[in-house]
Amino acid sequence: MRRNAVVFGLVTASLCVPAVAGAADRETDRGRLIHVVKDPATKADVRIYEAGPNDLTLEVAQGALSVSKRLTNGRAVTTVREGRNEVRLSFDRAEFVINDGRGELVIAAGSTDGARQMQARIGQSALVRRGADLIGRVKAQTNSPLAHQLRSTRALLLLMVGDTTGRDELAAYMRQLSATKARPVSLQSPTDCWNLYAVEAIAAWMEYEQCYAAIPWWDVLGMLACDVIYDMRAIGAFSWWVHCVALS
Amino acid sequence: MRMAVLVLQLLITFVVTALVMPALLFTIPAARNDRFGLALMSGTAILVFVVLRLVWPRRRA
Repeated sequence: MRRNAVVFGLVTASLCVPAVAGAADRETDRGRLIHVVKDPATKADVRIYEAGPNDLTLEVAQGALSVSKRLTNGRAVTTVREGRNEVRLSFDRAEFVINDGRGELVIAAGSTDGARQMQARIGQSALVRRGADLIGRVKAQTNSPLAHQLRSTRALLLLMVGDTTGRDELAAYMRQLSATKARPVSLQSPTDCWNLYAVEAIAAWMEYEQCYAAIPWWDVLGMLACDVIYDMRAIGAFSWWVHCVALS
Repeated sequence: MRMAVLVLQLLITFVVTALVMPALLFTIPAARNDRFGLALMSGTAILVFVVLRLVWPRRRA
């Protein structure tokens, strides 16, 4: 009887592992840290935070220098920071706002002399150029959301200091993507199976965490639903991998 | 009967490994590489199976 209890405890504990590990997630003012990786080329930390369904922040930090881009509800805020110095560029459909510590410069979307005002304000900013250089050196996988964001942010920062290099790089990158022909995907090796399994398993885990975060603590049925969905998805992905590598 | 117990233990090992692996993949980025990931998965499965074998109730002789 006692041993039965031990077996039951073991299985229950394994089912609870996800909840325990999930509690270790870091919460910040930018939201929950959902992705972190150290770029091998620059040794910079690349982090992605999620504060809500339409609120994502990408941050690249190397030492005291950091570049972050927050995308929320149709507004993009790019911040370059080094120590106490900070330049913030934010824009939406209506206006472009520059804040470099000397107050805000607001330029309406239809303004004819907007470019001249921007150039006068931060055209000589070494901090903005250093930020652009940093994200230009980060190696991101081609045709990934991260690569798109890094290149567009670099283009924006360089344009702010009157350099069109980033814009030209972005144009070349987009041409390269559009030239890529779509081809049918087939699984060639067990490594392909593992890569696809890892993507699905991580997605299942993140969905599970979001599911738990979205329900109040007293909603036992809601938690049970999260558990059941996670169990089905995790076991399904694992079964798929077993089949993919032809163990079954 | 012994065969049925063994199959049940293997099934539980499969389920537990399937449920634990997503958490491991998320928290240990190196496990996304297939070499380390497969080793980690195999280790997890073996550990679970061994623990199950050790604590599984047996009939007294």
